[in-house]
Amino acid sequence: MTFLRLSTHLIALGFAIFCSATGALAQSTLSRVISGYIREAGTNKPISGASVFVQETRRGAITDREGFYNLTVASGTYTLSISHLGYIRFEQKVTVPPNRNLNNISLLPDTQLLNEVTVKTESTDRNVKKVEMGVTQLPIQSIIKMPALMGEVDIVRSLLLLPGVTTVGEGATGLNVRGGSVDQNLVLLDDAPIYNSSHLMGFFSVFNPDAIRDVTLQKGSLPARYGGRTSAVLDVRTKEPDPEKLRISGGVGLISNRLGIEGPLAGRKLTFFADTRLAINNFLFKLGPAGIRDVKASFYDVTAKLKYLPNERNTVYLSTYVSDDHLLLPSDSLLSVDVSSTQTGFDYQTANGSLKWIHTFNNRLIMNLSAVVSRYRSATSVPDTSNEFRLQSELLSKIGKLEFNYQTDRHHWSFGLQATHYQLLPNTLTPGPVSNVQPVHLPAEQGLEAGIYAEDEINLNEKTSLIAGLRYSHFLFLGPTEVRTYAPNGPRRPETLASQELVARGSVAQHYGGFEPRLALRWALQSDRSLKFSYTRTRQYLQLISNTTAALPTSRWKMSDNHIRPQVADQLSAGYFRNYHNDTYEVSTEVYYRRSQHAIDYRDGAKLLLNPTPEIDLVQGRGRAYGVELMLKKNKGFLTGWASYAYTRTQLLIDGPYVGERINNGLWYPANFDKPHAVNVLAIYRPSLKFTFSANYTYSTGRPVTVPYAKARVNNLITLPVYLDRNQQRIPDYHRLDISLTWEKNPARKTHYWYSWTFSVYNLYARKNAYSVFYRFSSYSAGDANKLSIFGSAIPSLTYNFKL
Amino acid sequence: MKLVSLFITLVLATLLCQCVTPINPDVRTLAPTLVVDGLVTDQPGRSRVTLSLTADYTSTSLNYLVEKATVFVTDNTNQRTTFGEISPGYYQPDASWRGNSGQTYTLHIRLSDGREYQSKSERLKPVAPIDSIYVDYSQQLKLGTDSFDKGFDVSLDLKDPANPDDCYRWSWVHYEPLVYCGLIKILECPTCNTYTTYGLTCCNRCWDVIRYQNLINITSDNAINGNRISRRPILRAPFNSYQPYYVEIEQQSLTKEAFTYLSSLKDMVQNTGGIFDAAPALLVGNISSVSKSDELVLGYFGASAMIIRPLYIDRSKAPGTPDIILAPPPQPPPTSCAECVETPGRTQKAPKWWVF
Repeated sequence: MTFLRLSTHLIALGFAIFCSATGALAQSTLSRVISGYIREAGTNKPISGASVFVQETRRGAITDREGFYNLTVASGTYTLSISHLGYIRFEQKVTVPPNRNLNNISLLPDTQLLNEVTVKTESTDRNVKKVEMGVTQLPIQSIIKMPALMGEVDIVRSLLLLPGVTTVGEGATGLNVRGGSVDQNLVLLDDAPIYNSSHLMGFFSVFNPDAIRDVTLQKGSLPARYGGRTSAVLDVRTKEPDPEKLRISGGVGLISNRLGIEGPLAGRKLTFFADTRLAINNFLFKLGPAGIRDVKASFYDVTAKLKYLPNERNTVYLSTYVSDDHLLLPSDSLLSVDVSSTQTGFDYQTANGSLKWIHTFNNRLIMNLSAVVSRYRSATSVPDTSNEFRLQSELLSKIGKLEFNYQTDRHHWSFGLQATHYQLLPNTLTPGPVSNVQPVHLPAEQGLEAGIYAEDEINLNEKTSLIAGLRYSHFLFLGPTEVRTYAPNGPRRPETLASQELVARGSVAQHYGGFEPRLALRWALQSDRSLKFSYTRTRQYLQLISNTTAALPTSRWKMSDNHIRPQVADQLSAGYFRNYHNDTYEVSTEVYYRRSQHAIDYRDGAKLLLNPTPEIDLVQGRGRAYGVELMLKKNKGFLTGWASYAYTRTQLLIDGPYVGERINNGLWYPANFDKPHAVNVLAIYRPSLKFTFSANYTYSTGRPVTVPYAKARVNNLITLPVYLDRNQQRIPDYHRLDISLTWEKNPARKTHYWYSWTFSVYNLYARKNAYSVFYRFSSYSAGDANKLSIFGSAIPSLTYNFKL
Repeated sequence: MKLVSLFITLVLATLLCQCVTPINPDVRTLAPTLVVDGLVTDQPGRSRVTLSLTADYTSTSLNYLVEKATVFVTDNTNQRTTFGEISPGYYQPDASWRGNSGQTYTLHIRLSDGREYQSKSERLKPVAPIDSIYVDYSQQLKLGTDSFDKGFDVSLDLKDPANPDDCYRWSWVHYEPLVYCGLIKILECPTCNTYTTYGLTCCNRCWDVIRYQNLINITSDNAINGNRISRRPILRAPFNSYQPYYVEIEQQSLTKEAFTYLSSLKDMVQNTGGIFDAAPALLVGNISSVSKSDELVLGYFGASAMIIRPLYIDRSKAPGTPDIILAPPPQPPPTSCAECVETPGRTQKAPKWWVF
């Protein structure tokens, strides 16, 4: 029955798209068209967000992600004025008819001092002019200017300076955006999903800054083309290869060394880049105290892209990303398999490949067709001969996407289809050749997630514009699998297991689906101020299940199945945006409320690794998150940067019908990353082309912890702390100041060799921020609380970068 | 290059210092709650029940003991065995009584105020024998010093039976023979202010009993079912003398429930509150109130088969020299002697397998 309903929905949706598209076509024949791409002269990189202004009609357009613009005018002669921050303004006289379909324009970068020092987030009035809300785009040039931990430019860490973005603690993987957990963010690198965004457990991000062009974080209104995660989208895009000449660039740092090459392969039509990063930090640990001397840690990553540009209408990209981390700890800490060992190894790898074809049918219709294969593999291992084993998990996803963009003067349609096939091998334990450990193979999980969407950005009038989108997603949990049924009137426990049924290969064991409406509305009060509103619903069918405060890279992924229901989140947000002094200053206020259903948490004392029936240890409930984000930003001048304050709350309610299915006694409790107050200040001062000084300050409330009420003596001498609730107290507040100084060779002087030195200090005033709070357990003395600080002192670093 | 190495040293000196500082969070309180710690074994004299109450977390005192309770266990044949109060809060059956492998036991408690508690029934599962015991000498440089940590690592092997859900616990008791049972301070000269300390020999044979039961050394056969448990570390005997080191190694069976309880307990005790630790939670065992089902009762009543294996570690052939702890000189004549006082930590009774 549900299948029938699904297909009806799909047909209805498809019909709606068709009708609107034809309607728009019919309307557009009355006017003339000027359209094309705006690119950077020399590098040919598309400039998105550039403004194309028709002086005669006082109307204009903003270029899209691919640098494409489209204007509809009546017949006549016009003066186009193309401008974008950081580029020299360009004017062009155009006469229509005939239609100017590929009126491509190259903008020269402005090497003037003023623009060089600018922190660019697309066009400066984007904040006020765009319909979307809660979107931050950071170009890599700004990220590089921020102070970095141990000299490692870190894309993920730099996003922590934005309001509404938090992390559980230093060294934790990923980001928590507006009350979402780490796995609720869709992290994309050139359309391919990244399931773990951290190197070395959680200290550095997996993105090589040399290969990245920009980073977009969508935390408010999500465009309908994104789905599958409930919280936010982090879209990382790699740079366009240099079509002019072969260049080699690189850098030497304390943690990692970088080397990259880019340039033309066969003329301007076939260009490429490849950037690698390698870190072998064994020597660093060897110099340390004996406790960590035997730690071995290394990682590398390779980001590469091949671009084929046969003609103006077609572009083909072949991208690949590979990353590999290895850690060897001299103990069996963090090991969750019951054997004794002298060493524990952790390793995890990401291998992604994507093929993308962009085709321009005409000046209005662009198609994106892409195929992506992504594999994430993580493992824990013990090298001791008699107990040797490797416990591995793997997530393989194959994605196909077809997207269309259709633009008329008042509408911007986008619609498409997406399908993702997942294959998940939760845990496979392979013993060594003479090991006593028994092999374990948890059965694979298969799933198919499909989505269809359509969205229209409509300029209703001068003052009002809106984005209305609808996405339908459906998930099939496929066989072969074993479907377990538990006694209906009791908790889900091993003893209530009623029956097990095998579902054959290709059959559907369970399916879920539903609509995901997306709406954004902008009302311009004046040209420099606007009010915005948005509503977003999202569904998530794949989640990370972990019983630790912050997820480990080896934590287990789990698809929605017969017991674990997909998470659904609704976010409502509203904001007021205002720019001052010709877009020099930007002020914004955003409020949001996010409600989630089937939020997932684990039962007290849960063991999730190697568990063949994880549904027994998982519980689902409700979540709510709300907050206010205030931001003041300065875009122009020698001094740029921002200051932000956010008040955000994230709470969960797990109140099952049985005692074991309640957390915090069935009352609301704060999530692990709930940090109500956060203040961030970033300042970048660039008085000359050769020198940059930057500083950032961050303050946040301490994360919640559970503290004991009493102690009991059990098992002769062991002191057992008695916990009665969850996350009701907090570790001390966190604050930190970092600075960074960069000297670089004058980039305006055209020479073969460019270089820069960056000196930075992390945690300048050496605050001993609490990483954790723990209690010393002794039956003889008072239980005393202690805090552990890592990075408890000022950490200097020096990095050298070059470009040939 | 010199600059670079200086820089790296500087970075390491600062970065890798993990600093632990005390803090004062709010104190929360819980009304005193009953804590039960019980064990039935198949070794005579090793079954026991301790009753106590929880204490505030900041309290410096030991837990409050619960006296004058009626304690007994019943088995699956409804045989009832009374545990008498040997010392305050500490209850034991007759010295000759022992549990039987294959039986299930249930603990019953009635407090002096009439409140009644009962455990879930626990099966006394047999335990596989210890196959072999290994002793390996090793020495490592001590952190931040130029002295060595010298000792003998004791580990064991056993063959796990083919049936699943076998769980094990290991502990050990070391008997250290004493020469001095006390110390005496004697003035160096009648007018001086300084004393010399002399050892007082024991009046009769005496041993210090050193047991390490608060380490939770447990495993299940989940990963290795039917294979060997190999090189399971048991203890590290110090190399502080050429004398043999006498230790009794105890191997216990655990039910799956007891194993789950103990491994949660172990996680909780080792939890450092870090971001890669599980969120702490209330650990409830298998004891509940008979009348009030929602009353919080802590602790666990277990049943274990126990194997005790004696081990002499020959320390005379180890490479290197022992770290001898200097003892005071014996008392000059006229000599007296000190009594060997029977306490949980000291005994006059020779251990079972003592041969010297």
